[in-house]
Amino acid sequence: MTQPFDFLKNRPFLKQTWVKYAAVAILPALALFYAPIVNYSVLLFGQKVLLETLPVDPTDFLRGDYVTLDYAIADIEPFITWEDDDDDDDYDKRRRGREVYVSLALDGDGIASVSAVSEERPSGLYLKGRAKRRFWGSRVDCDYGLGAYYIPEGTGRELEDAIDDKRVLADVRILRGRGVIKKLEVAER
Amino acid sequence: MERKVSESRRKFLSEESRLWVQDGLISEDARAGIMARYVQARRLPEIVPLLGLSMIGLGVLSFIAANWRYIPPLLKVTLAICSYLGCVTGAFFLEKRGRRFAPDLLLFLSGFLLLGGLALISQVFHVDGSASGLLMTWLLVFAPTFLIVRNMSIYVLYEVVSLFYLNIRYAENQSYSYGSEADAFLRVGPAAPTVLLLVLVGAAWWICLDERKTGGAGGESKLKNFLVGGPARRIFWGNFMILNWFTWMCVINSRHESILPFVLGVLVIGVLIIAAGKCLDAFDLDWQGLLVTGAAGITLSFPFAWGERWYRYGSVGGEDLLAQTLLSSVALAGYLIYRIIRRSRGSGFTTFLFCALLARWYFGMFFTFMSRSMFFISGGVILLLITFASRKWSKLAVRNSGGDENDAAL
Repeated sequence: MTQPFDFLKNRPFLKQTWVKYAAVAILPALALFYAPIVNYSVLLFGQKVLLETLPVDPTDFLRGDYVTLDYAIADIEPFITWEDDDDDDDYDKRRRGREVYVSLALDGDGIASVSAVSEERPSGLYLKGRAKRRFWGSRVDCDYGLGAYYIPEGTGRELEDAIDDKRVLADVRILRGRGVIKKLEVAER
Repeated sequence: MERKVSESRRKFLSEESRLWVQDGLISEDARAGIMARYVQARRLPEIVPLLGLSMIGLGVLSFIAANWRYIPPLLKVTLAICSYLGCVTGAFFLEKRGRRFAPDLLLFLSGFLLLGGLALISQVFHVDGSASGLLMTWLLVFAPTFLIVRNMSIYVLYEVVSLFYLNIRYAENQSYSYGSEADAFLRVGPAAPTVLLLVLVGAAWWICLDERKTGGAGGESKLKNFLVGGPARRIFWGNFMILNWFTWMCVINSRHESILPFVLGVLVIGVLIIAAGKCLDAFDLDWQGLLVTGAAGITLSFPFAWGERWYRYGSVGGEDLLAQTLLSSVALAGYLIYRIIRRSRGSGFTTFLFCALLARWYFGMFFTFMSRSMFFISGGVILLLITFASRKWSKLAVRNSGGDENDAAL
Protein backbone atom coordinates (compact mmCIF):
# COMPACT_ATOMS: atom_id res chain seq x y z
CA MET A 1 0.00 0.00 0.00
CA THR A 2 1.27 3.45 -0.84
CA GLN A 3 2.24 5.40 2.21
CA PRO A 4 1.83 9.20 2.43
CA PHE A 5 5.58 9.90 2.45
CA ASP A 6 6.72 7.18 0.05
CA PHE A 7 7.76 9.72 -2.54
CA LEU A 8 10.11 11.25 0.00
CA LYS A 9 11.49 7.88 1.10
CA ASN A 10 12.11 6.61 -2.42
CA ARG A 11 13.20 10.03 -3.70
CA PRO A 12 13.30 9.28 -7.42
CA PHE A 13 14.38 12.88 -8.02
CA LEU A 14 17.65 12.22 -6.16
CA LYS A 15 18.64 8.99 -7.90
CA GLN A 16 21.16 10.78 -10.09
CA THR A 17 24.36 11.51 -8.21
CA TRP A 18 24.86 14.99 -9.66
CA VAL A 19 21.33 16.04 -8.68
CA LYS A 20 21.91 14.80 -5.16
CA TYR A 21 25.21 16.67 -4.80
CA ALA A 22 23.84 19.81 -6.42
CA ALA A 23 21.01 19.77 -3.88
CA VAL A 24 23.52 19.26 -1.07
CA ALA A 25 25.88 22.05 -2.11
CA ILE A 26 23.68 24.78 -3.53
CA LEU A 27 22.63 26.48 -0.29
CA PRO A 28 26.06 26.31 1.36
CA ALA A 29 27.67 27.61 -1.84
CA LEU A 30 25.22 30.52 -1.99
CA ALA A 31 25.95 31.31 1.66
CA LEU A 32 29.70 31.12 1.06
CA PHE A 33 29.58 33.32 -2.05
CA TYR A 34 27.02 35.88 -0.87
CA ALA A 35 29.02 37.52 1.92
CA PRO A 36 32.28 37.96 -0.04
CA ILE A 37 30.47 39.38 -3.09
CA VAL A 38 28.43 41.88 -1.08
CA ASN A 39 31.27 42.92 1.21
CA TYR A 40 33.90 43.22 -1.51
CA SER A 41 31.53 45.40 -3.56
CA VAL A 42 31.10 47.70 -0.54
CA LEU A 43 34.87 47.82 0.00
CA LEU A 44 35.51 48.53 -3.69
CA PHE A 45 32.72 50.97 -4.48
CA GLY A 46 31.74 52.36 -1.07
CA GLN A 47 32.44 55.85 0.23
CA LYS A 48 35.15 56.17 2.87
CA VAL A 49 34.22 57.61 6.26
CA LEU A 50 36.03 57.62 9.59
CA LEU A 51 34.07 56.76 12.71
CA GLU A 52 35.31 57.60 16.16
CA THR A 53 35.25 54.52 18.35
CA LEU A 54 36.30 52.98 21.65
CA PRO A 55 37.42 49.34 21.48
CA VAL A 56 37.40 46.55 24.09
CA ASP A 57 38.50 42.98 23.36
CA PRO A 58 36.45 39.82 23.92
CA THR A 59 36.70 36.45 22.13
CA ASP A 60 34.41 34.51 19.81
CA PHE A 61 34.94 30.76 19.96
CA LEU A 62 34.43 30.33 16.21
CA ARG A 63 36.06 33.47 14.88
CA GLY A 64 38.77 34.12 17.42
CA ASP A 65 39.77 37.35 19.11
CA TYR A 66 38.07 40.59 18.21
CA VAL A 67 37.63 44.08 19.54
CA THR A 68 34.16 45.35 20.23
CA LEU A 69 33.70 48.83 18.82
CA ASP A 70 31.46 51.34 20.50
CA TYR A 71 30.72 54.25 18.14
CA ALA A 72 29.94 57.85 18.91
CA ILE A 73 27.33 57.79 16.12
CA ALA A 74 25.53 54.89 17.81
CA ASP A 75 23.79 57.24 20.23
CA ILE A 76 20.64 58.25 18.35
CA GLU A 77 18.44 59.18 21.29
CA PRO A 78 18.57 62.97 20.74
CA PHE A 79 17.81 62.61 17.03
CA ILE A 80 14.59 60.66 16.96
CA THR A 81 11.17 60.61 18.60
CA TRP A 82 9.31 57.35 18.47
CA GLU A 83 5.64 57.74 17.70
CA ASP A 84 4.59 55.28 20.43
CA ASP A 85 6.80 56.68 23.19
CA ASP A 86 3.76 57.24 25.36
CA ASP A 87 3.04 53.50 25.53
CA ASP A 88 4.85 52.66 28.74
CA ASP A 89 4.15 48.91 28.78
CA ASP A 90 6.58 47.84 26.11
CA TYR A 91 8.46 51.08 25.75
CA ASP A 92 11.88 49.52 25.25
CA LYS A 93 10.72 46.41 23.50
CA ARG A 94 8.95 48.42 20.83
CA ARG A 95 12.07 50.41 20.11
CA ARG A 96 14.39 47.45 19.94
CA GLY A 97 14.81 45.94 16.54
CA ARG A 98 13.45 48.89 14.58
CA GLU A 99 15.24 49.70 11.38
CA VAL A 100 16.53 53.27 11.21
CA TYR A 101 18.46 55.23 8.63
CA VAL A 102 21.15 57.48 10.06
CA SER A 103 22.33 60.31 7.80
CA LEU A 104 25.98 61.19 8.26
CA ALA A 105 27.87 64.45 7.91
CA LEU A 106 31.64 64.52 7.47
CA ASP A 107 33.90 67.12 9.12
CA GLY A 108 37.15 68.42 7.66
CA ASP A 109 39.10 65.32 8.78
CA GLY A 110 36.55 62.96 7.22
CA ILE A 111 35.14 61.96 10.60
CA ALA A 112 31.40 61.26 10.50
CA SER A 113 28.72 62.47 12.85
CA VAL A 114 24.95 61.99 12.89
CA SER A 115 23.03 64.71 11.08
CA ALA A 116 19.56 63.16 11.01
CA VAL A 117 17.75 59.93 11.83
CA SER A 118 14.66 58.68 10.07
CA GLU A 119 12.68 55.53 9.44
CA GLU A 120 12.60 56.29 5.71
CA ARG A 121 15.57 55.75 3.40
CA PRO A 122 17.27 59.16 2.97
CA SER A 123 19.41 60.42 0.12
CA GLY A 124 23.13 61.16 0.47
CA LEU A 125 25.49 59.40 2.85
CA TYR A 126 23.69 57.24 5.38
CA LEU A 127 24.02 54.03 7.39
CA LYS A 128 21.24 51.55 7.91
CA GLY A 129 20.97 50.35 11.48
CA ARG A 130 18.74 48.74 14.01
CA ALA A 131 17.77 50.33 17.30
CA LYS A 132 18.75 48.49 20.43
CA ARG A 133 18.45 49.22 24.10
CA ARG A 134 21.11 49.71 26.68
CA PHE A 135 20.79 48.32 30.18
CA TRP A 136 21.07 51.65 31.86
CA GLY A 137 18.79 54.66 31.65
CA SER A 138 16.55 55.23 28.66
CA ARG A 139 19.36 55.74 26.17
CA VAL A 140 18.84 54.08 22.83
CA ASP A 141 21.72 53.23 20.61
CA CYS A 142 21.91 51.90 17.12
CA ASP A 143 23.53 48.74 15.83
CA TYR A 144 25.08 49.11 12.37
CA GLY A 145 26.61 45.65 12.25
CA LEU A 146 30.03 47.26 12.65
CA GLY A 147 30.59 46.33 16.28
CA ALA A 148 33.36 43.76 15.81
CA TYR A 149 36.88 44.01 14.44
CA TYR A 150 38.70 40.65 14.30
CA ILE A 151 42.37 40.60 15.23
CA PRO A 152 45.06 37.89 15.26
CA GLU A 153 44.87 35.65 18.34
CA GLY A 154 46.65 37.01 21.38
CA THR A 155 47.22 40.52 19.98
CA GLY A 156 44.50 42.21 22.04
CA ARG A 157 47.02 43.44 24.58
CA GLU A 158 49.28 44.86 21.84
CA LEU A 159 46.34 46.81 20.46
CA GLU A 160 45.34 47.94 23.92
CA ASP A 161 48.84 49.32 24.51
CA ALA A 162 48.95 50.96 21.07
CA ILE A 163 45.71 52.87 21.59
CA ASP A 164 46.45 54.00 25.11
CA ASP A 165 45.48 57.71 25.32
CA LYS A 166 44.96 57.89 21.57
CA ARG A 167 41.95 58.26 19.28
CA VAL A 168 40.83 55.12 17.50
CA LEU A 169 39.09 55.68 14.17
CA ALA A 170 37.40 52.98 12.16
CA ASP A 171 37.95 53.29 8.41
CA VAL A 172 34.52 52.23 7.13
CA ARG A 173 33.32 51.97 3.53
CA ILE A 174 29.61 52.63 3.00
CA LEU A 175 27.49 51.68 0.01
CA ARG A 176 23.70 52.09 0.00
CA GLY A 177 23.55 52.16 3.78
CA ARG A 178 25.70 49.07 4.30
CA GLY A 179 29.04 49.57 6.05
CA VAL A 180 32.12 47.35 6.07
CA ILE A 181 35.15 48.04 8.27
CA LYS A 182 38.36 48.18 6.29
CA LYS A 183 40.80 48.88 9.11
CA LEU A 184 41.33 50.67 12.40
CA GLU A 185 43.40 53.84 12.49
CA VAL A 186 45.09 55.16 15.61
CA ALA A 187 45.53 58.93 15.79
CA GLU A 188 46.93 61.34 18.38
CA ARG A 189 44.35 63.18 20.46
CA MET B 1 15.82 -8.87 3.57
CA GLU B 2 18.93 -7.57 5.31
CA ARG B 3 19.24 -7.07 9.03
CA LYS B 4 21.90 -4.98 10.71
CA VAL B 5 23.70 -6.67 13.60
CA SER B 6 26.69 -5.75 15.71
CA GLU B 7 30.22 -6.73 14.74
CA SER B 8 30.49 -9.29 17.55
CA ARG B 9 27.18 -10.95 16.69
CA ARG B 10 28.10 -11.25 13.04
CA LYS B 11 31.49 -12.67 13.93
CA PHE B 12 29.87 -15.23 16.22
CA LEU B 13 27.41 -16.19 13.49
CA SER B 14 30.22 -16.49 10.96
CA GLU B 15 32.24 -18.83 13.18
CA GLU B 16 29.23 -20.90 14.18
CA SER B 17 27.93 -21.25 10.63
CA ARG B 18 31.37 -22.42 9.50
CA LEU B 19 31.12 -25.19 12.11
CA TRP B 20 27.60 -26.05 10.86
CA VAL B 21 28.99 -26.47 7.37
CA GLN B 22 31.84 -28.65 8.69
CA ASP B 23 29.31 -30.78 10.62
CA GLY B 24 27.18 -31.15 7.50
CA LEU B 25 24.17 -29.39 8.99
CA ILE B 26 23.96 -26.83 6.18
CA SER B 27 25.60 -26.36 2.78
CA GLU B 28 28.16 -23.64 1.93
CA ASP B 29 25.52 -21.93 -0.22
CA ALA B 30 23.07 -21.91 2.66
CA ARG B 31 25.76 -20.44 4.90
CA ALA B 32 26.45 -17.69 2.37
CA GLY B 33 22.71 -17.03 2.17
CA ILE B 34 22.43 -16.77 5.94
CA MET B 35 25.45 -14.48 6.22
CA ALA B 36 24.08 -12.26 3.47
CA ARG B 37 20.98 -11.65 5.58
CA TYR B 38 23.01 -10.15 8.41
CA VAL B 39 24.88 -6.95 7.63
CA GLN B 40 27.29 -5.45 10.10
CA ALA B 41 25.93 -2.24 11.56
CA ARG B 42 29.33 -0.50 11.36
CA ARG B 43 28.65 1.37 14.54
CA LEU B 44 31.95 0.99 16.35
CA PRO B 45 34.45 0.95 13.48
CA GLU B 46 33.13 4.27 12.18
CA ILE B 47 33.80 5.99 15.45
CA VAL B 48 37.58 6.17 15.11
CA PRO B 49 37.66 7.76 11.62
CA LEU B 50 34.80 10.04 12.60
CA LEU B 51 36.70 11.12 15.66
CA GLY B 52 39.72 11.67 13.43
CA LEU B 53 37.72 13.75 10.98
CA SER B 54 36.11 15.67 13.83
CA MET B 55 39.56 16.51 15.14
CA ILE B 56 40.68 17.68 11.71
CA GLY B 57 37.51 19.78 11.56
CA LEU B 58 38.26 21.24 14.98
CA GLY B 59 41.80 21.91 13.78
CA VAL B 60 40.44 23.86 10.81
CA LEU B 61 38.16 25.84 13.12
CA SER B 62 41.04 26.54 15.53
CA PHE B 63 43.22 27.64 12.64
CA ILE B 64 40.52 30.05 11.52
CA ALA B 65 39.90 31.32 15.03
CA ALA B 66 43.60 32.16 15.32
CA ASN B 67 43.10 34.72 12.48
CA TRP B 68 46.58 34.16 11.13
CA ARG B 69 47.88 37.53 10.04
CA TYR B 70 50.15 36.25 7.24
CA ILE B 71 47.28 34.98 5.10
CA PRO B 72 45.86 37.68 2.80
CA PRO B 73 42.07 38.14 3.15
CA LEU B 74 41.38 37.16 -0.46
CA LEU B 75 43.27 33.90 0.01
CA LYS B 76 41.32 33.23 3.21
CA VAL B 77 38.01 33.71 1.38
CA THR B 78 39.19 31.51 -1.51
CA LEU B 79 40.30 28.83 0.96
CA ALA B 80 36.95 28.98 2.75
CA ILE B 81 34.97 28.47 -0.46
CA CYS B 82 37.29 26.01 -2.18
CA SER B 83 37.83 23.75 0.82
CA TYR B 84 34.08 23.19 1.20
CA LEU B 85 33.36 22.82 -2.51
CA GLY B 86 36.47 20.63 -2.96
CA CYS B 87 35.29 18.32 -0.20
CA VAL B 88 31.80 17.98 -1.71
CA THR B 89 33.25 17.49 -5.19
CA GLY B 90 35.58 14.79 -3.84
CA ALA B 91 32.60 13.04 -2.27
CA PHE B 92 30.73 13.28 -5.58
CA PHE B 93 33.53 11.64 -7.60
CA LEU B 94 34.08 8.94 -4.99
CA GLU B 95 30.37 8.11 -5.05
CA LYS B 96 30.45 8.01 -8.85
CA ARG B 97 33.26 5.47 -8.56
CA GLY B 98 31.04 3.32 -6.38
CA ARG B 99 32.63 4.01 -3.00
CA ARG B 100 30.08 3.79 -0.21
CA PHE B 101 31.89 4.80 2.96
CA ALA B 102 34.28 7.59 1.94
CA PRO B 103 31.71 9.99 0.36
CA ASP B 104 29.73 10.19 3.58
CA LEU B 105 32.88 10.77 5.59
CA LEU B 106 33.86 13.60 3.26
CA LEU B 107 30.40 15.12 3.56
CA PHE B 108 30.74 14.87 7.33
CA LEU B 109 34.03 16.77 7.08
CA SER B 110 32.38 19.28 4.75
CA GLY B 111 30.08 20.21 7.64
CA PHE B 112 33.07 21.40 9.64
CA LEU B 113 34.60 23.10 6.62
CA LEU B 114 31.34 24.91 5.92
CA LEU B 115 31.12 26.15 9.49
CA GLY B 116 34.76 27.16 9.37
CA GLY B 117 34.24 28.85 6.00
CA LEU B 118 31.28 30.88 7.22
CA ALA B 119 33.24 31.89 10.33
CA LEU B 120 36.30 32.78 8.27
CA ILE B 121 34.32 34.95 5.86
CA SER B 122 32.61 36.81 8.69
CA GLN B 123 36.04 37.23 10.30
CA VAL B 124 37.60 38.64 7.12
CA PHE B 125 34.83 41.22 6.69
CA HIS B 126 34.49 41.93 10.42
CA VAL B 127 30.84 40.93 10.32
CA ASP B 128 29.36 41.79 13.67
CA GLY B 129 27.05 38.95 14.50
CA SER B 130 26.44 36.58 17.37
CA ALA B 131 27.91 33.08 17.47
CA SER B 132 24.36 31.74 17.61
CA GLY B 133 23.55 33.56 14.37
CA LEU B 134 26.49 31.89 12.70
CA LEU B 135 25.39 28.47 13.94
CA MET B 136 21.83 29.14 12.81
CA THR B 137 23.09 29.98 9.32
CA TRP B 138 25.03 26.72 9.30
CA LEU B 139 21.98 24.77 10.52
CA LEU B 140 19.87 26.19 7.72
CA VAL B 141 22.31 25.79 4.84
CA PHE B 142 23.60 22.38 5.95
CA ALA B 143 20.05 21.03 6.34
CA PRO B 144 19.85 19.74 2.73
CA THR B 145 22.96 17.63 3.33
CA PHE B 146 21.43 16.21 6.45
CA LEU B 147 18.11 15.54 4.69
CA ILE B 148 19.55 14.03 1.54
CA VAL B 149 22.53 12.02 2.71
CA ARG B 150 20.82 10.34 5.69
CA ASN B 151 24.04 9.35 7.32
CA MET B 152 24.18 8.71 11.05
CA SER B 153 27.40 10.67 11.59
CA ILE B 154 26.02 13.71 9.75
CA TYR B 155 22.83 13.38 11.73
CA VAL B 156 24.79 13.37 14.98
CA LEU B 157 26.89 16.36 13.87
CA TYR B 158 23.71 18.27 13.03
CA GLU B 159 22.16 17.40 16.36
CA VAL B 160 25.23 18.35 18.36
CA VAL B 161 25.56 21.69 16.56
CA SER B 162 21.87 22.34 17.19
CA LEU B 163 22.47 21.70 20.88
CA PHE B 164 25.43 24.09 20.83
CA TYR B 165 23.22 26.61 19.09
CA LEU B 166 20.52 26.30 21.73
CA ASN B 167 22.87 26.77 24.61
CA ILE B 168 24.84 29.61 23.07
CA ARG B 169 21.61 31.32 22.13
CA TYR B 170 20.39 30.83 25.64
CA ALA B 171 23.60 32.19 27.16
CA GLU B 172 23.36 35.25 24.89
CA ASN B 173 19.79 35.72 25.98
CA GLN B 174 20.92 36.11 29.56
CA SER B 175 22.38 39.50 28.74
CA TYR B 176 18.97 41.05 28.25
CA SER B 177 17.46 42.29 31.44
CA TYR B 178 13.83 42.64 30.47
CA GLY B 179 11.04 40.69 28.87
CA SER B 180 7.70 39.10 29.57
CA GLU B 181 6.84 37.06 32.64
CA ALA B 182 7.51 33.90 30.67
CA ASP B 183 10.97 35.24 29.87
CA ALA B 184 11.51 36.03 33.51
CA PHE B 185 10.47 32.52 34.50
CA LEU B 186 12.94 31.00 32.10
CA ARG B 187 15.66 33.46 32.97
CA VAL B 188 16.59 31.45 36.05
CA GLY B 189 20.07 30.81 34.75
CA PRO B 190 21.82 28.80 32.10
CA ALA B 191 20.85 25.58 33.85
CA ALA B 192 17.29 25.97 32.57
CA PRO B 193 17.72 24.38 29.13
CA THR B 194 19.71 21.54 30.65
CA VAL B 195 17.04 20.90 33.25
CA LEU B 196 14.25 21.10 30.69
CA LEU B 197 16.00 18.76 28.29
CA LEU B 198 16.85 16.26 30.99
CA VAL B 199 13.32 16.25 32.41
CA LEU B 200 11.74 15.75 28.99
CA VAL B 201 14.19 13.08 27.94
CA GLY B 202 13.79 11.41 31.31
CA ALA B 203 10.06 11.21 30.66
CA ALA B 204 10.77 9.82 27.21
CA TRP B 205 13.04 7.16 28.68
CA TRP B 206 10.39 6.13 31.09
CA ILE B 207 7.95 5.63 28.26
CA CYS B 208 10.49 3.78 26.18
CA LEU B 209 11.54 1.49 29.01
CA ASP B 210 7.90 0.78 29.70
CA GLU B 211 7.48 -0.27 26.09
CA ARG B 212 10.21 -2.86 26.50
CA LYS B 213 8.51 -4.20 29.61
CA THR B 214 5.16 -4.51 27.87
CA GLY B 215 6.63 -5.96 24.71
CA GLY B 216 5.47 -3.34 22.27
CA ALA B 217 2.55 -1.89 24.14
CA GLY B 218 0.09 -4.56 23.16
CA GLY B 219 -3.17 -4.41 25.02
CA GLU B 220 -2.47 -1.01 26.53
CA SER B 221 -4.55 2.11 26.15
CA LYS B 222 -4.68 3.85 22.79
CA LEU B 223 -2.95 6.91 24.15
CA LYS B 224 -0.16 4.77 25.51
CA ASN B 225 0.09 2.88 22.25
CA PHE B 226 0.44 6.14 20.44
CA LEU B 227 3.03 7.49 22.84
CA VAL B 228 4.97 4.24 23.16
CA GLY B 229 4.80 2.41 19.89
CA GLY B 230 3.44 4.99 17.51
CA PRO B 231 5.06 7.81 15.60
CA ALA B 232 5.21 9.95 18.72
CA ARG B 233 8.10 7.91 20.04
CA ARG B 234 10.32 8.69 17.09
CA ILE B 235 8.88 11.94 15.89
CA PHE B 236 8.36 13.75 19.14
CA TRP B 237 9.99 12.06 22.08
CA GLY B 238 12.81 10.59 20.12
CA ASN B 239 14.41 13.75 18.92
CA PHE B 240 15.90 16.38 21.07
CA MET B 241 16.05 18.81 18.20
CA ILE B 242 12.35 19.20 18.80
CA LEU B 243 13.20 19.84 22.41
CA ASN B 244 15.83 22.35 21.34
CA TRP B 245 13.32 24.10 19.18
CA PHE B 246 10.71 24.06 21.90
CA THR B 247 13.11 25.48 24.45
CA TRP B 248 14.32 28.09 22.05
CA MET B 249 10.74 29.10 21.29
CA CYS B 250 10.32 29.74 24.99
CA VAL B 251 13.32 31.98 25.35
CA ILE B 252 13.02 34.25 22.33
CA ASN B 253 12.16 37.78 23.25
CA SER B 254 12.67 39.73 20.07
CA ARG B 255 9.77 40.06 17.65
CA HIS B 256 11.88 40.27 14.51
CA GLU B 257 13.38 36.87 15.28
CA SER B 258 10.07 35.06 15.61
CA ILE B 259 10.22 33.77 12.04
CA LEU B 260 13.36 31.75 12.74
CA PRO B 261 11.91 29.26 15.23
CA PHE B 262 9.00 28.77 12.85
CA VAL B 263 11.30 28.00 9.94
CA LEU B 264 13.45 25.74 12.09
CA GLY B 265 10.37 24.03 13.47
CA VAL B 266 8.98 23.24 10.02
CA LEU B 267 12.42 22.08 8.94
CA VAL B 268 12.87 19.84 11.95
CA ILE B 269 9.47 18.22 11.64
CA GLY B 270 10.12 17.62 7.93
CA VAL B 271 13.48 16.08 8.73
CA LEU B 272 11.95 13.79 11.30
CA ILE B 273 9.12 12.59 9.11
CA ILE B 274 11.46 11.80 6.25
CA ALA B 275 14.27 10.30 8.24
CA ALA B 276 12.05 8.25 10.56
CA GLY B 277 11.32 5.93 7.67
CA LYS B 278 14.96 5.15 6.99
CA CYS B 279 17.43 5.74 9.74
CA LEU B 280 15.55 4.21 12.66
CA ASP B 281 18.56 3.89 14.91
CA ALA B 282 18.98 7.63 14.86
CA PHE B 283 15.62 7.96 16.54
CA ASP B 284 16.23 5.33 19.14
CA LEU B 285 16.01 6.86 22.56
CA ASP B 286 19.17 5.05 23.59
CA TRP B 287 20.96 7.43 21.28
CA GLN B 288 18.87 10.41 22.12
CA GLY B 289 19.32 10.07 25.81
CA LEU B 290 23.01 9.55 25.45
CA LEU B 291 23.40 12.52 23.16
CA VAL B 292 21.42 14.82 25.39
CA THR B 293 23.15 13.90 28.60
CA GLY B 294 26.53 13.47 26.97
CA ALA B 295 26.54 16.65 24.94
CA ALA B 296 24.94 18.64 27.73
CA GLY B 297 27.45 17.20 30.15
CA ILE B 298 30.41 18.06 27.96
CA THR B 299 29.40 21.41 26.58
CA LEU B 300 27.55 22.90 29.49
CA SER B 301 29.43 21.30 32.33
CA PHE B 302 33.10 20.85 33.17
CA PRO B 303 33.85 24.35 31.84
CA PHE B 304 37.13 24.32 33.76
CA ALA B 305 38.22 21.40 31.60
CA TRP B 306 37.26 23.15 28.39
CA GLY B 307 39.12 26.37 29.03
CA GLU B 308 37.92 29.85 29.65
CA ARG B 309 36.44 30.30 26.18
CA TRP B 310 34.03 27.44 26.56
CA TYR B 311 33.27 28.67 30.00
CA ARG B 312 32.30 32.02 28.60
CA TYR B 313 29.93 30.55 26.07
CA GLY B 314 28.65 27.57 27.97
CA SER B 315 27.62 29.45 31.03
CA VAL B 316 27.68 32.78 32.74
CA GLY B 317 29.13 31.15 35.83
CA GLY B 318 28.08 31.42 39.45
CA GLU B 319 25.99 29.00 41.45
CA ASP B 320 24.04 27.86 38.40
CA LEU B 321 27.26 26.47 37.06
CA LEU B 322 27.70 24.20 40.06
CA ALA B 323 24.09 23.03 39.78
CA GLN B 324 24.30 22.19 36.09
CA THR B 325 27.70 20.59 36.44
CA LEU B 326 26.40 18.29 39.14
CA LEU B 327 23.15 17.63 37.31
CA SER B 328 24.76 16.82 33.99
CA SER B 329 27.53 14.79 35.57
CA VAL B 330 25.10 12.68 37.57
CA ALA B 331 22.86 12.21 34.53
CA LEU B 332 25.76 11.21 32.30
CA ALA B 333 27.30 8.90 34.90
CA GLY B 334 23.93 7.30 35.60
CA TYR B 335 23.30 6.69 31.97
CA LEU B 336 26.75 5.24 31.36
CA ILE B 337 26.35 2.85 34.28
CA TYR B 338 22.95 1.86 32.95
CA ARG B 339 24.45 1.13 29.53
CA ILE B 340 27.33 -0.84 30.99
CA ILE B 341 25.00 -2.95 33.13
CA ARG B 342 22.73 -3.68 30.20
CA ARG B 343 25.66 -4.30 27.82
CA SER B 344 23.41 -3.27 25.00
CA ARG B 345 23.50 -0.96 22.01
CA GLY B 346 24.91 2.47 22.51
CA SER B 347 27.93 1.36 24.47
CA GLY B 348 30.10 2.20 21.46
CA PHE B 349 29.05 5.78 21.61
CA THR B 350 29.58 5.77 25.36
CA THR B 351 33.16 4.73 24.72
CA PHE B 352 33.47 7.54 22.19
CA LEU B 353 32.26 10.11 24.69
CA PHE B 354 34.64 8.87 27.34
CA CYS B 355 37.50 8.95 24.85
CA ALA B 356 36.55 12.44 23.70
CA LEU B 357 36.48 13.68 27.27
CA LEU B 358 39.79 12.03 28.10
CA ALA B 359 41.33 13.35 24.88
CA ARG B 360 40.21 16.86 25.73
CA TRP B 361 41.83 16.68 29.13
CA TYR B 362 44.96 15.34 27.49
CA PHE B 363 44.95 18.25 25.06
CA GLY B 364 44.39 20.65 27.90
CA MET B 365 47.60 19.40 29.48
CA PHE B 366 49.80 19.06 26.40
CA PHE B 367 48.58 21.31 23.64
CA THR B 368 50.95 24.12 24.53
CA PHE B 369 53.72 22.20 22.71
CA MET B 370 52.26 23.13 19.36
CA SER B 371 49.55 25.35 18.00
CA ARG B 372 46.05 24.19 18.79
CA SER B 373 45.05 23.74 15.17
CA MET B 374 48.12 21.62 14.40
CA PHE B 375 47.48 19.55 17.50
CA PHE B 376 43.94 18.73 16.41
CA ILE B 377 44.87 18.11 12.79
CA SER B 378 47.82 15.85 13.60
CA GLY B 379 45.67 13.94 16.12
CA GLY B 380 42.98 13.49 13.49
CA VAL B 381 45.45 12.31 10.89
CA ILE B 382 46.89 9.77 13.35
CA LEU B 383 43.39 8.39 14.01
CA LEU B 384 42.66 8.14 10.28
CA LEU B 385 45.95 6.32 9.72
CA ILE B 386 45.09 3.92 12.55
CA THR B 387 41.71 3.24 10.91
CA PHE B 388 43.31 2.66 7.52
CA ALA B 389 45.96 0.38 8.97
CA SER B 390 43.50 -1.60 11.10
CA ARG B 391 41.31 -2.26 8.07
CA LYS B 392 44.27 -3.42 6.03
CA TRP B 393 45.52 -5.61 8.86
CA SER B 394 42.13 -7.16 9.55
CA LYS B 395 41.66 -8.04 5.87
CA LEU B 396 45.20 -9.42 5.75
CA ALA B 397 44.61 -11.48 8.87
CA VAL B 398 41.40 -12.93 7.46
CA ARG B 399 43.09 -13.71 4.13
CA ASN B 400 45.97 -15.45 5.90
CA SER B 401 43.55 -17.54 7.93
CA GLY B 402 41.66 -18.50 4.77
CA GLY B 403 38.42 -16.85 5.93
CA ASP B 404 35.87 -14.79 4.07
CA GLU B 405 37.03 -11.16 3.87
CA ASN B 406 33.45 -9.96 3.84
CA ASP B 407 32.80 -11.68 7.13
CA ALA B 408 35.43 -9.50 8.74
CA ALA B 409 34.53 -6.36 6.85
CA LEU B 410 35.24 -3.46 9.16
